[in-house]
Amino acid sequence: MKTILTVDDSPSIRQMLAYVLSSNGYQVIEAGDGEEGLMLAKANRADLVLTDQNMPKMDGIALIKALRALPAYKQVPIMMLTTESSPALKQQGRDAGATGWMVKPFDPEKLLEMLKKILG
Amino acid sequence: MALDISRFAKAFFEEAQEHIASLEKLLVAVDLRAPNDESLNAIFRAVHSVKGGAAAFGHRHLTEFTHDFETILDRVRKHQLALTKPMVDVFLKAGDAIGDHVDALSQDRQPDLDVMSRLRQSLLDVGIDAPASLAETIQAGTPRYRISMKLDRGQFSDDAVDALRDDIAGLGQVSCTEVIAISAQTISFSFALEADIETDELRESLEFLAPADDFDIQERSADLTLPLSATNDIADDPDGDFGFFAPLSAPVVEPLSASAAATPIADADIHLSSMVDATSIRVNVAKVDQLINLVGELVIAEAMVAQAASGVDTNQNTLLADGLAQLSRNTRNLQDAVLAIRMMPISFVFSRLPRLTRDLADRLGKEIELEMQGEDTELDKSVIEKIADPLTHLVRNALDHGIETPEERVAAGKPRAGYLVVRAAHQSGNIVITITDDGAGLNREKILAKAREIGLDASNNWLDDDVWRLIFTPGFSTAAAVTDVSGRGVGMDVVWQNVHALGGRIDIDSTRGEGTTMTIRLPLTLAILDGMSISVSGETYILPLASISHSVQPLDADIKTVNGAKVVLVREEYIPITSLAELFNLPASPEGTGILVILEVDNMRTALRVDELVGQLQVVLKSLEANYRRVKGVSGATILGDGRVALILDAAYLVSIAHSTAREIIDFAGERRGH
Repeated sequence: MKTILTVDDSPSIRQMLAYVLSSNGYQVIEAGDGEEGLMLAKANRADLVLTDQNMPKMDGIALIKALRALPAYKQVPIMMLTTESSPALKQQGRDAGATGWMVKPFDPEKLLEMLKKILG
Repeated sequence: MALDISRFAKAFFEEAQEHIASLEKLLVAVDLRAPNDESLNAIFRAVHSVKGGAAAFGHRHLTEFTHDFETILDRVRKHQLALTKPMVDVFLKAGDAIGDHVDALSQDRQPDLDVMSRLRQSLLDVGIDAPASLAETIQAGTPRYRISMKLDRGQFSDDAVDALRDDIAGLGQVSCTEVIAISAQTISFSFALEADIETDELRESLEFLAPADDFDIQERSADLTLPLSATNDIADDPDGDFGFFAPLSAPVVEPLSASAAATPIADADIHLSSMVDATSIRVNVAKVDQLINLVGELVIAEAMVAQAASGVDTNQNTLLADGLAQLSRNTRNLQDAVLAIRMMPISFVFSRLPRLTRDLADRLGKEIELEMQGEDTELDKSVIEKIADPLTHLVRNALDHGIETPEERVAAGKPRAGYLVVRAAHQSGNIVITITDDGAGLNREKILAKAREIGLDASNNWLDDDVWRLIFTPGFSTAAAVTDVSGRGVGMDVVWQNVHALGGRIDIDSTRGEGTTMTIRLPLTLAILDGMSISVSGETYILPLASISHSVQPLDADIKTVNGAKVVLVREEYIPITSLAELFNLPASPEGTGILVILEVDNMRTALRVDELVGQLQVVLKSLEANYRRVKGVSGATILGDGRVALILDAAYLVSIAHSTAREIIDFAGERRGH
């Protein structure tokens, strides 16, 4: 079973992601901000990370950089969840080492389609 | 497989309201001269979080609105835009609009998009060149053209918008019409159009419909259709909903060897973040109220059993006696525990005060510093709901009438800014809320003059307390000019009534030139009452224990008749006697017998003649109003241990009628007290 770490400060979005992912056979770990995400990433082995950008304590870009500095997360796909397809933000994500991006609103089907593409 | 995510939308609505509440709190608190980065970031994040949720759950209007809002806040937090007061004003209104919009969505109502559009324009106006953000919303997946128009309302009727929309629909698919601003002279609006024609062609077509100067066409730019195309981005998804920075052909995931440190994930870890939320649950208030009612019935049933068993010899039935004692104890504990569920911190009311103070101070041209204390003080939800308006009114009054203008304050040698403290605390089974201002204080002469003007019989000899109480008289207002803030002369009497309806009281303490303190005392809960049961002419009534000062068995010599009214001399003071039998038309008790219960409300006293004091008890309140109708002198009803209904007397009413019919006597007594 593949494990996905979701990092978002909004409980409703986390709950929704957890629902969509777990009802499709993924194991879900939830974190409410970048710091918690990093801590949980270290404590567990996630096969994919979905992270929001704007969060208290540690934002998405900082989390991606911190994860990429960990040997265990050098190759793990990290997707940024963004509200706008702002080119500047995408460039930042790309520089930090993100694998790709996904724009909200995410239709559950689209989300699963994307995961299938990455995780097979 | 269709996944229904609608139930998470509910959680989003609650979340959004919390963000809006914190936005308002932060905006009101922000120091314009030196805004700190931390709060600017928090302000930005609050709006951003709403946007994130709105987008995730597909609320398009809300997403667009919060997007423009956030764009400006982003520039503010990056110090590209200096925060000004007009800006904060617009931000607060924008927060309100988001709150209303979310409310409407959560109640399945149609949100007011006009308000939203107008505020969006105001946001763009305070952000000056922020319209760039508008172009940004025209991104992948949105229609190709955005046509903005501004029409002279003198030349075009408002119906022209619909007519134009129909005409433009002939060119392609019109997906969205938005009115941006309406003034007396012009109306601005925009269309989103998906059409397979070139800009020049579109422009020519539009020139048939409206003057060329009156419209503007924005085309979705090419780089937005293919985001990051310049950096070899691979737009995997045809609609541009997601994409990858590098081709996925290479195995992105390290193949997991069977022995690789695939740490098993404990359930505890998975729910780490949701565990925090699990310490509290949201329950419908109706369920809690039902629980409180049921416990109330249980308390009555327990009292019935106890009374029925009171004749039983406990020495012979020790088991029954023990069981009853235990039942009684557990019933009390259960009642306390259930009532505690409905307890809420008073911050639910206090939280609206900073915004109120700010808006009012602005309108009145005053400078006011607000301090709140004891926001965590808990009281029953029903009390909180009923005290919100009176409290707000008192704060409003303190700001309007109490605190002076900066000029007057400086002239009086005070700091420019007035100081208002609102404090809540528990005090021996009551909650005490005080509103203290350092303003001009109440004006004794003015109040007395006004009282005479509206036909009240006011004496210059009155104690300050008696004079201050006049402001609670219906129709009383000393404000020289009637403002829309307060001073319409309705209000203070309503405040007094509301507080008394809650079984509470208000005290005023005021010193000329130094300020005024209003003190509200309230019971913690409306569900139960500590009472004294009394009997008059064979009927049983309950008096609220809090209003009983003491009781006396008077000597005939102490009872006198002054101006036709009976008074009794108690502790060197003449107190008017109220006969409950007379008031309620009950058969009179034999003269000379009986006990006088001294009731005290707001420093006013009356001696209530009763036949017998039956005993102290805790009663479960039942509303007479809800079950029958409002009756003067009666504040509610309860069911006694023997199953009979007893009326709960309204002590404030009894005292006030005794007081109003015996003003002269009180004056006389006042003089005797040496004032």
